[in-house]
Amino acid sequence: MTFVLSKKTLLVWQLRIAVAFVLVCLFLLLAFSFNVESFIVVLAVLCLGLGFALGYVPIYIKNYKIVAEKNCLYISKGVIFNSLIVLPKLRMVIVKEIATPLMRWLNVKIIMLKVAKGWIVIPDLENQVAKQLLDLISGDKNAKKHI
Amino acid sequence: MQKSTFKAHPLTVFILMRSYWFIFASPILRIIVEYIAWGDTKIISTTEALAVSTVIFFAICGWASIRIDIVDDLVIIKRGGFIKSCSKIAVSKASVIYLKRNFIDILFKSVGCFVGLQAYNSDKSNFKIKLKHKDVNKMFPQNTNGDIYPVKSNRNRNRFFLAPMLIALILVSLKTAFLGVGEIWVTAIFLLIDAYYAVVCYYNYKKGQLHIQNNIYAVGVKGFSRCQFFCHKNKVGVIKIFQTPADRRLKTCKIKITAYSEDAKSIKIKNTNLKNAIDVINEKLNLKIRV
Repeated sequence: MTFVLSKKTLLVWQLRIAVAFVLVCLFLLLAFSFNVESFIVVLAVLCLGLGFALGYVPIYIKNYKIVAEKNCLYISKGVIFNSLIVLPKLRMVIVKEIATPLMRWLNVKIIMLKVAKGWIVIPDLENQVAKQLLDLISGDKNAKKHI
Repeated sequence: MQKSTFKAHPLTVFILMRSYWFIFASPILRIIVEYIAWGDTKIISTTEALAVSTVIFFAICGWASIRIDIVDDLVIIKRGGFIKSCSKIAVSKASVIYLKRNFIDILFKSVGCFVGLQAYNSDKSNFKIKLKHKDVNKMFPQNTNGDIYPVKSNRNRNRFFLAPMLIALILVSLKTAFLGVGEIWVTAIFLLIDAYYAVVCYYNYKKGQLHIQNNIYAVGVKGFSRCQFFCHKNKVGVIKIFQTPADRRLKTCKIKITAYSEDAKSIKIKNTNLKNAIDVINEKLNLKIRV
């Protein structure tokens, strides 16, 4: 079964990037006391933010795929540097769900899979899709669910 | 009942001293700070000398007390100069055996050995030790039953020269743009770094191997250290396949195999032929990786 990230995920990420870059621009404007150089720097930062939010992030979301097989989970992601993570279900120790207020408003959540050392993070899946994925994962007796 | 006994290599003393690095670092830092502040410094005080000699003494005692007995399927590790401990590990419970050899190890004929146990446990019951090279060959025979799978890519030979040449070109251009044509020593440093990168790439290409039968045996390179990785195929944790834009062009990849153990020891095999590597992993580990 294949899972992909939806347009809601893209919206959440773009909102986060917008807020982060606005805060950075405000800080720069205050730091440089609203002179000409500060506006040039802010403009450059805004262009960078726009490029990231409208260029890189949509491609990343489109390339992110999760394939859940009977015994294994395959996660492929990346834009410039591609990676494929192969995760046997027996190796998952804990499965964790996280939702901030913004994510709860948009009905998405983050899923974190604990492996031997470290976590594998699946970003901003829709609640329904997350539930399907977790049902597939927790069908194995060695996987534990923690909310 | 077959029994073999092994002793640790003297370089283990440095591994045992590693936890107390601050005792060696603090006199050096003090000397630097005093010299900068007052222009004059005392080389070493009595307290510092006492602390350093105590650590060295206990490390030597610890090294001398290490004894590894292998009895049939059981590994018994005894250690501790004053507070003695004895660990018994069933070979079947070991998730991963990781061997590392760098220049110093080659010079002193030792091998850095790490044995990881399965399951996640904060007690850190695995062990890290330096063994003699001849003992390692007896303890861990290389698992090369069957064929060597052709995961290396011949097309990647050119990367040893193309990538470093490209990097050299970029660095020298940047340096010329900012510092001018002079400052020849900066160019020399860049070229040295570049030569190092080319040699490491070539060494990686030559040494990288992957064998999968009942166990996984992989050889990777970290800098100039040769690393060997033994893991039962049922104790594989996570497999990552990583591609840069150059890898996508050359249809190669980097594989990282992590064992299911406390320290999650992993091995990276670079410049592998993507299709061959995936076919081997799918067939031997019963997976369905599709790229």
